Amino acid sequence: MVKLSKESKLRLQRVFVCGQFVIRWGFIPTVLYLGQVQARSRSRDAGAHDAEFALGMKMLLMSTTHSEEAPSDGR
Amino acid sequence: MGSVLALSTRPGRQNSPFPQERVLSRWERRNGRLRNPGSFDGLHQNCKDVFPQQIEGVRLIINKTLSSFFKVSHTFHLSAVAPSCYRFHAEHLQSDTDSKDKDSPMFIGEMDSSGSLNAHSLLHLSEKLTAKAVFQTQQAQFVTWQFETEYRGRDFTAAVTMANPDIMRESVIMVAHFLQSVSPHLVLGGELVYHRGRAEEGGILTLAGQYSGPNWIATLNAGKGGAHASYYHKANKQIQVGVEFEASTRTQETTFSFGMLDSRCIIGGVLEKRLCPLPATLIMGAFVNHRADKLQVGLGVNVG
Repeated sequence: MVKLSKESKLRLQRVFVCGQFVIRWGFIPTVLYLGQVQARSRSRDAGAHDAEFALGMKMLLMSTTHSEEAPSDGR
Repeated sequence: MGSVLALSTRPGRQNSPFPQERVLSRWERRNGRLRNPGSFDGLHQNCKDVFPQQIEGVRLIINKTLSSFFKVSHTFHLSAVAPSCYRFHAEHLQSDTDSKDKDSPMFIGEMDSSGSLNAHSLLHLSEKLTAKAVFQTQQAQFVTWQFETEYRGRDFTAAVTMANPDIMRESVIMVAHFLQSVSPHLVLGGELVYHRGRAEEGGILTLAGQYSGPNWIATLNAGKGGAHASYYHKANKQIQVGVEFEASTRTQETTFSFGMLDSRCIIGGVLEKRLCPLPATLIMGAFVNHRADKLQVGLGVNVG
C-alpha cells in the first residue's frame, strides 16, 4: 500500500465523510428525481405520438372522402 | 495462516433485489446452444423462494406505482421484538420486460425512520457487462459498501466483487465468481473469496454445481468454509417443495430446512390472501420456536 502523510490521510478522511453524507442523503432524492423526469418525458412522447396518430387518421379520412367524390365529378 | 471469513457472513452478501431470470427457463435450449447460467448468488434462489419469510408484529405497506419504471412504498411496522419504524422505499426499475429501454439503470433505495439507508444500483455498461453498487448504513455509520462487475457470456457468467474497501485501514474483501453451463442440465462453477486486513489475510475456494431435471433442481456448494445443498421440486402449478441443508465451519452451525420446518425447531407458516375487490392483500404468519419456547405472530396489510 502507498504510504500517505498525515495531511493526506486527513484530507482523504474528509473526502470519504463528505461522500458518505452525499450518498446517504442524496441517493433517494436522486431516485425520485429520475423517476419524475422519466415519467414527464414519457408523457410528452405519448402526447406527441397521439398528435401524430390523429394527424394520420385525419389524412386517411380526407383521402377516403376525396376518392369517394371523384367518380361523381367525372360523370 | 490467518482467520478466514465464512461465505454466509460476508458483508453485503444478500440476494439481489433486482429481477433475475428464473432458473426454470434455462431448460429451454435456444437454437441448440447452451444458455447463460445466471448469477452465482441465484443458484439456490428457487429453493429459498419456497421458504416463508418470518414476519412479526403488525405491518402496513402502502404501494404506489407511479409509472412502469417508478414505484414508491411506505411501510409502518409495529413490533414487540425490535423498535417500531417507518420505512420509505423508492425504486426505479423496469417492470415491463418488453420495453425498449432494457438497458436503463436500476436503482432501489430504502430509508427508515432511524436514518438507515439500504441502496442498490445497477448500470448496464454494455449488452453483457453490468456494474452494481450496494450501500448499507446503520443510522450514520456505513456498514457495507460493495462494488461488483459482472460479465454474462453466451454460456458462462463471470463476476468480480470488491466489498468494504478501506484505504485508511488497508483492508478489503475481494470475491470472484465463475459459472459455466457444461450441458443443458449441468452448471459448474466456483467462488474465490480473498480478504485482507492489517494483521490478517486469507482466502477460501468454494466449488458449485447445479443439475436440473424436468421439474426439479439440485444445487451443491462445497468448500473450506462449509457446504450448502438445496433441492427444489415443482410438483404442479400450486405446489412446490424445497429442502435446504447448510453447514458452516466458522460458526460451527448446521441447519436443515424443509419447506416451513427448520432443524432449529422453528415451524412456521404464512398465509397471503387477496382481498378482492379492494386493492389489498392480507398477510398472516406464525412461527413457533420449540427450542427457545417462543411464538412469533405477524399480521400485515399490503395496499396497492
